[in-house]
This record gives sequence, structure tokens and C-alpha cells, in this order.
Amino acid sequence: MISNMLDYMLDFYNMTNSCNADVIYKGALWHENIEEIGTVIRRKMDSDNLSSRDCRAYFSIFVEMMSNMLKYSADKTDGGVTKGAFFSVYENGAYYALCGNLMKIEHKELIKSRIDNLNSMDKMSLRRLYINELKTTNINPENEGAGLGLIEIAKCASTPIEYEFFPHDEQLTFFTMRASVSLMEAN
Amino acid sequence: MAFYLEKKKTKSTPYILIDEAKNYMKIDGDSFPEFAVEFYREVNDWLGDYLETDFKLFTFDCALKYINSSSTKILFDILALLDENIAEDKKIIINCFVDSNDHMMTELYEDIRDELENIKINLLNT
Repeated sequence: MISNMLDYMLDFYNMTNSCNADVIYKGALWHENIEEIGTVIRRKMDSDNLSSRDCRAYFSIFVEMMSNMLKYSADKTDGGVTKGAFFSVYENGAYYALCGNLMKIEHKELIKSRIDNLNSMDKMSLRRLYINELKTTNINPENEGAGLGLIEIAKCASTPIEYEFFPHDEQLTFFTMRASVSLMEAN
Repeated sequence: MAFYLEKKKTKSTPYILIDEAKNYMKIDGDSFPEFAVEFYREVNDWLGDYLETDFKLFTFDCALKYINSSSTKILFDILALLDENIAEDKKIIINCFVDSNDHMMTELYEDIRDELENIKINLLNT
């Protein structure tokens, strides 16, 4: 494996170049890492003169994707820290956020039906659903989840959330999701 | 002894000031803590006790900028608690400061305001 690594680095470099990625991360999701990646994303948005609405929307998608991986990723370091992957890509007037992690197959149907449901709703319905969930749900003390993250991503995204489950083994599946923010004119 | 708490801003947590002697609380900055419930526990615990006292006028300045979904849930619960405890002789003023270009934050406050029956939330553009 180690002997192929120089080739891997070339493939990696070419792959990241071809998709115009600003952030590529795969590893432990320490809170400090999330803060640092957030700083990189904000710096990029500042230099691209994004409107405050677009900045909020994209940063929010990033944070909620990270939280989602923290909750559901079945891939952990020996010390028990959750692992996952994240890309931030700019292309043709839109910012794309992609995340990927292994998760238990048993969560698949729930996640799938929740995203499909959110994708079928317009922005006004999502806004109403969000406030309704704020009123009625309680924070799960186990994982700090309040079931709001995916709704927040759907609210912020300019297009429906795209996702895929790839087979991994008998217990786990690789879940990946993509959400984008189409840029309004900078203000 | 009146309660006093001041927490510095970090990359993912806001500045917090509670000055019970002045009947005043302020939250200012971004909020996406690693453990939101834990982070806001002191605020919640104090507020629960404070609202039982016979204060006349309490002011809460809320200048949250970016706020993640778990923090939003906690903010909603704080505002709902204030809403339940408002009375003729106990006035509560809530000032929410929002970037005028940040429509999503404005909408969120408007939606929360619509849900709360008694309390008035002043939306102030910065």
C-alpha cells in the first residue's frame, strides 16, 4: 500500500484540481478542526465578496453537515472520535458542500425518507416546519441532536439535497450528501 | 449576592454577560458550541432562579450572528421561558440585533416572535 502512495498523491492532486475544491478534509471531527475548517470557508467567502445571506446559508450547511456526521458516522478513531469527509467546491456561480461518512445500514431508511420529504417541500413549508420543530422537539442528551439539522440544510440550500448510499459491508453503508448555494449578487 | 457571569467570545461560542444587579443579560457573537446544552447550562440555571425573584424590569440584548440548529433550539427555549414568566409587575425587554442583509436571521426571529404570546421582541437592524 505504502509503495503506491506517491501515485495516490498525484491522483489526489489532479482530482482536487479538476473539481476546483477549496477544502478537502477527511479525518477526525474534533470540534477544533470544525472551527478551523469554518475559518477557511469564511475567508474564502469573504474574498469572493459573498452577500451576508449567502455566507450564512453556506456556513450553516457546513456546520450542520459536520454535526450530522458527528451524530451518525460509524467510522471512529481508536479514541472514539468520529471520522468523516468534507469537500467545499466552487463551480459556475454556486458553492457546493459535500460530506461523506460510513453509517449503520439501519439508519438508512430514516435518513432517506427524511431527505425525500424535505426535498418535496417549498421554502415557506420548510420555514414553518423548522419553527414547529423548535417548539415541539427536545434535544437528545445522547448526541445533542434536535432533528433540526437536515431541515436547516434544506432551508439554506438553493436546490434539493442530493444524496447516495453506497454499499460497504453487511452492517455499514457509505452515505454521501451534497447541497449547494447559488450566489446572489454580492452586496 | 447578585449573580455575575462574563464569558469571552471564542470561534464557536458567543460573549455572554449576566449582570443580575443590573437585571441585564447579553449574548453576542456566533454560536455553534461542541456541546450546546452544556454551554448554555449556566445561563438556563440562573434564568430559572432569577425569574422566581421579584425583579421589576429585565433586559436581554441578543446579538447572535451565526447560530446553529441546537443553539437555536436553546435560544427558543430561553425566549419561551421569558414569555411564560412575563407579568404586569415584571417587565421583560428583548432586543434582537440583526444584520439588515441577513434575511434568514430576521425571518427566524419573526417566526419565533409569532409563536410567543406575551412577550415583545424588538428587532433592531445593525
